[in-house]
Amino acid sequence: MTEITEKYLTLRGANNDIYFFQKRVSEKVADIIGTSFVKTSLKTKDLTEAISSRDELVDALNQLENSDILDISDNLRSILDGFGISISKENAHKKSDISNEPDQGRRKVLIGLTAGFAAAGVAFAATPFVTTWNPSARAKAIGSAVKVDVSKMMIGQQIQVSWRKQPILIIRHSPSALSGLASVTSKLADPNSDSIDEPYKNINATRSLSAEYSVLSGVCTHLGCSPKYYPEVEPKPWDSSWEGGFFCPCHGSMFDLVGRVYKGVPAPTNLTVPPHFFEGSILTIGEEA
Amino acid sequence: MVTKVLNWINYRLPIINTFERHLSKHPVPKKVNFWYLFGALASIVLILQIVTGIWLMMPYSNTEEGAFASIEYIMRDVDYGWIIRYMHTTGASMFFAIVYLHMFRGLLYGSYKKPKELVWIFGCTIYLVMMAEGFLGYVLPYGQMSYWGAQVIISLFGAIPYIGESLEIWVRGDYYISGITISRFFALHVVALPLILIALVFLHLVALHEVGAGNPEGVDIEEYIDDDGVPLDSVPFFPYKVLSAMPAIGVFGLVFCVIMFFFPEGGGYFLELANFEEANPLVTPEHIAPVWYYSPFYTMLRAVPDPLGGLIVMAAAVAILFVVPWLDRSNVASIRYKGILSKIAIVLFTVSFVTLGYLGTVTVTETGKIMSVICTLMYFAFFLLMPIYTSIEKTYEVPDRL
Repeated sequence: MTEITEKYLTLRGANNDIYFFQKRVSEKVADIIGTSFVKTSLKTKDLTEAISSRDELVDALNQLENSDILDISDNLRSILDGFGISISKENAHKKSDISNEPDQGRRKVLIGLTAGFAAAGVAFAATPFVTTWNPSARAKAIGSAVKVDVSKMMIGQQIQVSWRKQPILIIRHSPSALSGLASVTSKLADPNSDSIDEPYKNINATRSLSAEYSVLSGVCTHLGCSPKYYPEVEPKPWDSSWEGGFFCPCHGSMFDLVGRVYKGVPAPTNLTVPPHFFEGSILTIGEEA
Repeated sequence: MVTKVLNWINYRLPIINTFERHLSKHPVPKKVNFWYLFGALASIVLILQIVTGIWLMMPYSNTEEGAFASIEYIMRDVDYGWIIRYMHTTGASMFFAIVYLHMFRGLLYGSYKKPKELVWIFGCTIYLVMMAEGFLGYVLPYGQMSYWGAQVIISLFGAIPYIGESLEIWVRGDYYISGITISRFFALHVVALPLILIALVFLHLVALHEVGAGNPEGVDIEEYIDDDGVPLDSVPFFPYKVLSAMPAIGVFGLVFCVIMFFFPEGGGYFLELANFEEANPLVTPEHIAPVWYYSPFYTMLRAVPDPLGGLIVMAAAVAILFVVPWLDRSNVASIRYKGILSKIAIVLFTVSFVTLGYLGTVTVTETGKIMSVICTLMYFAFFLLMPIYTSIEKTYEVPDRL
């Protein structure tokens, strides 16, 4: 066979038949017979026979090329069938398939996959842009714990320290003020801090780890203003029976002396208690013991 | 020679055609009233804000230590720095005043009616971006009101369940409003949002030129066109509209200058007095009020006791503007031909909006609280009842021609 220069003919298969190999057909024909390459056994070992067989096949393919798709003769059908090329009835009648219309289903899948990968890519690419907005290592370091000596505070005094630039209110209560707390309970929305996750709940009346000092975040739970300390028990413009406590100048929220919120004010919850611990008279804010 | 150069360019890039189509020969309704001036004024102020903004960027320092001092430096040491800054701050207030009037014109004469829905939606988006832009700009001087105003606004994110607290930290980039926050707000205020704003203004105008400008009668002038397809009741933009706008621009310039030179703080409404003090995270000013242009929405926020509820109401108050084209079921566009119900509604709406604006600038009182709830309800009723009152009322017949 090697000397044979007849194009597309080659010895193949277990029987060493001569194969007609690799004839590229037009799109139209490919659509009918299901592949754009023709690769079929000519069922002979004799070259002359193979050549005439091949010519018959090529001729049939040309006929197919020129015939009306809807009207392929049975003769042509059987010739091609003899070469192992079948034309199903369905194929012969799928006129729309023979046009240049792309395969929409395939296209949808590809578009979907491309979009999916693109979205994943965008998500990855967006990560640095989103995360640079987080507090930097320096900002985190500056936001670490602060220590205060509270022994110098007078009774009834409130001082403010800054932790993470938030005002932290430290109040040294008089025993009478602490015992008076019970009288406002009926005006409070949540006297036992049930609605917030408070770590030092029910340890002391001060809501802190000390029986004398309260440690409160001075950030109003409404919208973050800083409530002011009004310890006097006297009528105030915002409450005619004021028992002492905190009043927020922004939207009029009221809290009692240990930062528990009144009923019917904009602030939804009690002032929070920051993480803290006492070592003698040294109070550390921003860290648990 | 000039013609030759212009023709050479126009052959490659249709500048003359575009100029004629969108400016000089653009047909506009021949009879409109003063309400139709505010669009042009807004674009003038936008340009003014961009130019003065660029100049302010040069001496401004976007750091925690330097921001407040650099504003004082602009005011005292930079030659004519004060005029640039007051032009920018007055411009901000004027921009909002103009845009509010421009939007009110839209509500009066149905500037959102089919096919102008997109023009309206782009406009509402511009308003939304302007509110963000104004807020970010107000934080930059890092005065007391900058700090505490930003504190209140950023806390709104904290009201969102579950992610609120971390979202707040993410927006600030710190545990308080620090230099980190300032410099990112600076980037957004001078680059990101202005780019978006310019793109939106472009879309607003392109969409408007596609469907044509409205008029106080609500007449569709495209119904009667001449042989060239130009509406019979229209005049070319140049010279008719340009010349008639000139006196208005002059009057506006005069008002602007009087404010800029004599009342730049606007009695504490344009620039709040507390902002002449450097930010102090440990001391809240006695009275926190937003700048006047946010105060109606701020009052709504305060009217609801729960922060999340307040946030939702405030967001809904802006969001509802976007759907106005689908709420108005009237068969006429202009208030002139609408029925009595629409007329009552728009009066009540105006009263409630102005009252909300006033209440936001004063301290909370018991009466104020009740008033703000009532006005908030009235504000929403205007929009939510619109499908009802615009469809049941009897409208008047709109003339054929302008």
